[in-house]
Amino acid sequence: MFVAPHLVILTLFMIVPTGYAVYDSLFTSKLVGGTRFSGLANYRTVLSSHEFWDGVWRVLLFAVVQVPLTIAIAFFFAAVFDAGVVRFGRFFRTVFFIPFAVPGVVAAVMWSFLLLPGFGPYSKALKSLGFGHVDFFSSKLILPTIVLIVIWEWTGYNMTILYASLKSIPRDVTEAAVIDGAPLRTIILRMKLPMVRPTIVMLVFINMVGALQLFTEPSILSAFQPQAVSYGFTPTLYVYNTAVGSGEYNLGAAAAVVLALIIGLVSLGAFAVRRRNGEFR
Amino acid sequence: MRTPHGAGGSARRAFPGLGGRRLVGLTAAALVAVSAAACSSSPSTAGPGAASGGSASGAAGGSGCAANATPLTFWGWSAGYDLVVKEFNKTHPDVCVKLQNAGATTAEYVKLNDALKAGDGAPDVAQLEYFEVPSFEITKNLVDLSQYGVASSRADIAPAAWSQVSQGSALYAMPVDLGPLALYYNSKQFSAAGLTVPTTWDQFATAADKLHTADANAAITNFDPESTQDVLALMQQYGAFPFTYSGGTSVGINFTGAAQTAFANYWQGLIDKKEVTTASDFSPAQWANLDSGANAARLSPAWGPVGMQLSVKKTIGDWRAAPMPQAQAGQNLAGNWGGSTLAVVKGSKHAKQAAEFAQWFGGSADAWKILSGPVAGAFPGYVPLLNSPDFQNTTLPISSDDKSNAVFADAAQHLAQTQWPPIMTAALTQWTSTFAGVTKGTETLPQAFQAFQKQLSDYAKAQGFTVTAS
Repeated sequence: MFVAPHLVILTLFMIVPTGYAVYDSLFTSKLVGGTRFSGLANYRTVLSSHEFWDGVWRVLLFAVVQVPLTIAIAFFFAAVFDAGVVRFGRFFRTVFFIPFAVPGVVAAVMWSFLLLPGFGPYSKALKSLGFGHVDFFSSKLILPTIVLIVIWEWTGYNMTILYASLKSIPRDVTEAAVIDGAPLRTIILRMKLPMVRPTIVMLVFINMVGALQLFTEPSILSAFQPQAVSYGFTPTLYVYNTAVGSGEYNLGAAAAVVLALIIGLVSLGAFAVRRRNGEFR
Repeated sequence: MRTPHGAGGSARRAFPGLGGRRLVGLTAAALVAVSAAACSSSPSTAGPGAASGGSASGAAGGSGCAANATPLTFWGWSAGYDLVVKEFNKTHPDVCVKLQNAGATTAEYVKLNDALKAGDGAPDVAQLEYFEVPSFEITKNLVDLSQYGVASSRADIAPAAWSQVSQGSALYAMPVDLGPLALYYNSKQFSAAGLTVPTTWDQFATAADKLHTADANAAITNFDPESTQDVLALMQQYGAFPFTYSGGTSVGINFTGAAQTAFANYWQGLIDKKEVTTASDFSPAQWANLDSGANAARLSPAWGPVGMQLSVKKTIGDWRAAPMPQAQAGQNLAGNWGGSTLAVVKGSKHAKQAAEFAQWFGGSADAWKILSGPVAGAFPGYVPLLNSPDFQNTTLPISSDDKSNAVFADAAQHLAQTQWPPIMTAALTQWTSTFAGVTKGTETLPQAFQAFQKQLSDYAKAQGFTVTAS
């Protein structure tokens, strides 16, 4: 009874669309000849498409770099604010959180202008500092550039959650350490960090799933620098471009299902880790 | 995290859509990307009625129409179309056209496709670029306008435009504007470098060599391998257009024939010698090159100078138009980049009035008075205007007193015939990735042509077409 509203919403917005995607992925619709049942043919196409797998490896690499960096920076600032060693802490916490309130599209457009090769302020500054002509959108730098943008967007959000978690640590624990003469660094790294570990594991998981679904930033950047972002740059871009760009909706559906399975596997891994840590008892 | 890559990306590729033409290139790309994003993630706010509007809803209200006027919905995105619609409603009190912006180019096509699939919410009339008409024709979603007498406009429309929208006696859309190419060159730089205006591509290569030898920073022009429509327009002009299609299930794709290979080798040669640059079309780099002398000429569509004069400063007044260089001496072939048509969508309850509106829109002096005006700034496919001395004598500050329009108008009458295949949406989506290596220098243009030949042929076969290589 009490779960009924939840179940209805779950069915309407999760199970039905997923089921429809699976159903769709089993058909092939052609411009000439119409729609026919084609079994697993679309899955074979996706699984043998190196564009798709290139995208999967790219977002995994992206996640391995971006997620730890974001959380490390976020933890650093959360700990600094929590320790109360800076003045105007509330003001700066708000400032750090602001990028999260900026929609991804706006952020990507803004950074595209800032980093524009030859014309943006950043490449001009680097040039005058003697770094020569830096092209943030070249095939070598495009991924670090996206990492930079995403860290900018998401650090404040992670910081806020970590800050709340740090604040919930009982004061007497740290007070005892302070009285014992433990330096601040030790208190943060040896006492507080282990205590917020469950929060960090959860943030790793959330950030990881977000990274695997990377879409907004590369798709906006591709409008500025089409050569840097191929149509299968990330798996979600591959799904979008096969379904909408080429009109192969069924193939797009199959790719989406494969991507969902990959994310499901990652989630299961994270669940296993958290279980081992003694959560969900 | 939901933004259409296709729409954003093709905003640049499909730039001739009049919508962004007046804005400086990059800003336009950004704005289109953003607005397209807004459209497709929330059709209810950006395109009122895009999802549910339908042809009958409240069309008689608003724009001051009579209550009993026949309501028509019209999806279009180009600047100034609202003014043309207003004029139509004023002069045709028995019809009431309601203009809706369902997004520019690909964004609109996606929405139109979805509405047609859903069987509800499609407009009566839709703006389609020339290359997109066959894609809607093959799914039998366009009304044959010849049954409503629209073919009577044939003599008033540039022949190459007409042939792109007709199959035999059937007419699937009414041509509106065009973008014929011309050699748009910096006359001061040309005379300083001692160059004469080339009339053949051989002379063009010689001039490129001379210019670059004298000044290592100068290239004669820009060639953007990733700009599908730009490259296809140049191929058309070179006599190397890669597609043939005359309805039905057989489509010709040929990027590897003799003419196409010659075209690819020609441009690769200039790229290798750094005698042309490979900046993105409409990028700040391209405008800077044109203004600094790094590019001495632009192979420009007719709608190009209007936007260009907002993006260059130092060289205003120095630019002149000349006919495109020819593959064979003595020929006069032009290429076309851009332009739109109006099509009547199947399922329209008022197809007759819709056809009347489309015919008036592209083929009447009244409509063209506004379309060629300062807000819309469209280049006509409408012959009476193309031929009129007033139009041909119009000048722009960027060209001082040069009669550029006369050159473009002549080109409009000499466009090489083109047939678009019904798979252009996919071709546009897949092109950029395949050709990116040419810009980076990791592959050559002939190699990209070979890769794309296979890629697009595979796609066409997967869609059930028979592919011939000619």
